[in-house]
Amino acid sequence: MVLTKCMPSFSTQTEVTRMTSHRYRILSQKISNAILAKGRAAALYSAMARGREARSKAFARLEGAETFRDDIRTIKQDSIERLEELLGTFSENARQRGAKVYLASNAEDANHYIVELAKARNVRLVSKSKSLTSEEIELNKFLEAEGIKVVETDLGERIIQLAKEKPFHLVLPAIHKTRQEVAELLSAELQKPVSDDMESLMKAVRESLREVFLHSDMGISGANIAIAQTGTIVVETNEGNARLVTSIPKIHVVIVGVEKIVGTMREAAKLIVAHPMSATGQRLTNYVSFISGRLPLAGNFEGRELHIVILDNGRLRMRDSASFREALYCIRCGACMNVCPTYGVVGGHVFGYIYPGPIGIPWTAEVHGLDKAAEFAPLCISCGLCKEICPADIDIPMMIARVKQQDIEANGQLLVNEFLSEAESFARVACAMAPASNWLLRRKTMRIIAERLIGIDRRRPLPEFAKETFLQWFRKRESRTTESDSKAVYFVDLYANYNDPQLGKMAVELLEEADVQVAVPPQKSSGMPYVSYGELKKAEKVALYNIQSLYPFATKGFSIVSTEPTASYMLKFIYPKLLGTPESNLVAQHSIEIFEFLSNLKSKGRVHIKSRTSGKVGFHISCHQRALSSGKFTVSLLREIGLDVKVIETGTCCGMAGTFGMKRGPLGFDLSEEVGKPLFELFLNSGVDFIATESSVCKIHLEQGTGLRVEHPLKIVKAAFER
Amino acid sequence: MQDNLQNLFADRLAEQSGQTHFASDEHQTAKIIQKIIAERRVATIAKTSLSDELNLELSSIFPVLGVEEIAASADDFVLQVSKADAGITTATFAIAETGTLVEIVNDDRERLISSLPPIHIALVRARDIVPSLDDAAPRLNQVYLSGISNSVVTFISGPSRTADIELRLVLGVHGPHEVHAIVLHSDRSD
Ligand code: SF4
Ligand code: SF4
Repeated sequence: MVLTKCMPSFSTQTEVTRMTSHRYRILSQKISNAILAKGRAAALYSAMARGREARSKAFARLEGAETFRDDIRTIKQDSIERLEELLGTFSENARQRGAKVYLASNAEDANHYIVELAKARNVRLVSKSKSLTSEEIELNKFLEAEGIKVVETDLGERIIQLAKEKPFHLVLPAIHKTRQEVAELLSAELQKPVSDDMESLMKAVRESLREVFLHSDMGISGANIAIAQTGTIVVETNEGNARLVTSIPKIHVVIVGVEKIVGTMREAAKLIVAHPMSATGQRLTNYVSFISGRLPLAGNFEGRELHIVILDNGRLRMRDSASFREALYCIRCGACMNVCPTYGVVGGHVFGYIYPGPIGIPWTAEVHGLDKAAEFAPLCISCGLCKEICPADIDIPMMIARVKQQDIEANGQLLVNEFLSEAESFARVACAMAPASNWLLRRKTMRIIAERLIGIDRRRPLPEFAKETFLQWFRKRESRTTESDSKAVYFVDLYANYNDPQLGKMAVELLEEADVQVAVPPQKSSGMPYVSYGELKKAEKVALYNIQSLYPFATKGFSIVSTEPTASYMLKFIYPKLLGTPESNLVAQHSIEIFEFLSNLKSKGRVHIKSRTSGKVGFHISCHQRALSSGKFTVSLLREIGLDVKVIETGTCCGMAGTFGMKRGPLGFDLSEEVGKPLFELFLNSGVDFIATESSVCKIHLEQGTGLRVEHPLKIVKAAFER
Repeated sequence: MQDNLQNLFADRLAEQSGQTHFASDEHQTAKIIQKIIAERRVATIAKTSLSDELNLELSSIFPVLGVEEIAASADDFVLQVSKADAGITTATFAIAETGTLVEIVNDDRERLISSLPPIHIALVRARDIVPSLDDAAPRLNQVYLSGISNSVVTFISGPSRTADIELRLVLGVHGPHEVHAIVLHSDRSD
């Protein structure tokens, strides 16, 4: 009854097309298979963890780390801004050096140029060093169709080529293959048994590829950077294969995306630091070659050519799109896939088309088409971590939300997504009907119906609904408009309003005890689910409503605090992105985490710790909080009241991701469990008495996954504070 | 200062599995090379143009060790270098902070000498070690501003490496599995 009552409020303006449900089924199947392939997941997990650790170590020792991401972003931003000019300068300078420069407008064009060149020069064997751009256009296929043999010489790429697969990871394309599998592939290729110890494997690889280097008549390489000022191509490899590919064969073909051009050597020097730092933690890639024109070999220039194919293939269009332009800032370091929680479970074959991982979603949508991207875009659970780790600070999550939006506009929305993004309408009804609604929602039969009809997984406990919401309570109570020099708006968001009004009350009381003038203007919940499910128009509407309500307070010097990190994240980062208005920017400036606000009050002497407590608590940083303070104010206040606080983290998400973990089956509950397991284990082995986290949804997940008590830190500190 | 730079260079190169040796003069350099090639039973060697002094020193060592030198002008030069056991090259300068040897060439022959044989020995003068990547930029600019002659500049920071199989680090997958930097005219000779 509860359900039916609120059902009509869901617009079904777009009919869910067969495409969407078909894709959903396929993706669910792929996720289930990936979860079952435990070995692969373990290998991927340790590769990612190692990548993250190496990166953060490198970051910690880096001089100028504070401005590093800004610097990289600025370089890329300027270069993309000046693209036409740089393209002209680069081409001219490279031509001066005798290179043939060809601007290919699309994949077909680029393939045609290279295949025709190979045919004209009678090329039989091509050696290739790693080039994702060449994979983007599937160049090998076209060369092979002409009977030309193409051999990848990067070890990982070679393994993938022999296995006839696509890269599993950007930097480590064959990370999912075991030694034994590699040995089998090599044995089959070389038609002799190769044993699976590393030494034998390397010997086999080295010997067989050495022959290729020596006898290939064309070498094809990618380029990490192109430098306009000098007409130089920069190629980075750790194995050194690119050095051979670009020197021995008579013809060297470079295939480079047009977005890789920068102005000067100075800018290139920054990028060659950024690549390995974000990818492997090295100070520099082992071999960085700056190739400026073709060189003779042992004094002989005969037949030695350099062709530089600059690929557009949608990039110039991306450049003109306000939403997707920043995808061009990508330096292909792979860091975003090292932090992506769902990629970490399913890997690049499921989470990717040719380009894997987070950036793979917008990139695929723009280069290979929306349909290809829509096959894996739902895997993004909007944790936002990829943006936080990206050396160019690319807003990948927002681009992904745009891809999802395009997809639902074309193909319709899944009912469960529509339902969950309208959770507030449901909560309103459920509260009005509490406690009957709670009783109903606890019934097994009801949960089965909800699972079948809507797609809410019956295994996920749902929070109870309060009879009186926080906003109702606040409106009813006597107004206390004592003017104060310290003012705050409390932004309550969904959970503290409908499920745990007590939390909201405590927040208000705590602030008022510190003589803060508290206001609670009309508001809707922050609307994160809209963003997660690509309902950006609705997200904009909610943003507009809240900004209109909050803006007048911001102009009067109110800070805006929330007990939900996601709400602060929305106010601070997402609303300005969605609306781009001065009003939203001002509200963002005034939004502050409640614990930072409390810390300020404490240092001004407006609140004091009256009683101390003890106990061991494990702190969980919610993903959206990582974009804020990573919980540093909360943790230090918890410590000040006497608690022994350990921050417990895997370095990625807990997997709940708002409402994602409530959804039925693989693309929901199962995946969220799989992401959460390593974190649950850490908590269980940590010996903590209970868990503290500010996120209401992480709380549900952690409680269920660990069996430990999970508290909002505000409730913990409340008792210890006084005026 | 010079001393610190040399140490820093050696430490950073060691982080990437490369070794550094220090020599006060050509004679000592030759001795170090002799030791490396004797210990590893090097039979054939390729080298780029070195100083006359060092060439002289080496020409008295190679025959004693039975080491054969590949002629720079050989028709099948590539094949021969590919079979060589070691290559000796000169680095134009080095970067201490990153443990990097900077090779600047106008002929791919020299690139092959540092990239095909399993052992790479690179010479660099002590005074050519610059502190950081920032200091490398002006030196590189000289290369580019001195006309438009084609060149390949390679930053070499250790032996060829891969971790593509099960994240296991392996050296020398295609190129050298050992890199020896010899710092020449060093005041802290071995
Ligand atoms: S926002 Fe999170 S889930 Fe989405 S792609 Fe980025 S890291 Fe992955
Ligand atoms: S999007 Fe950012 S983090 Fe991801 S590969 Fe590109 S540069 Fe690296």
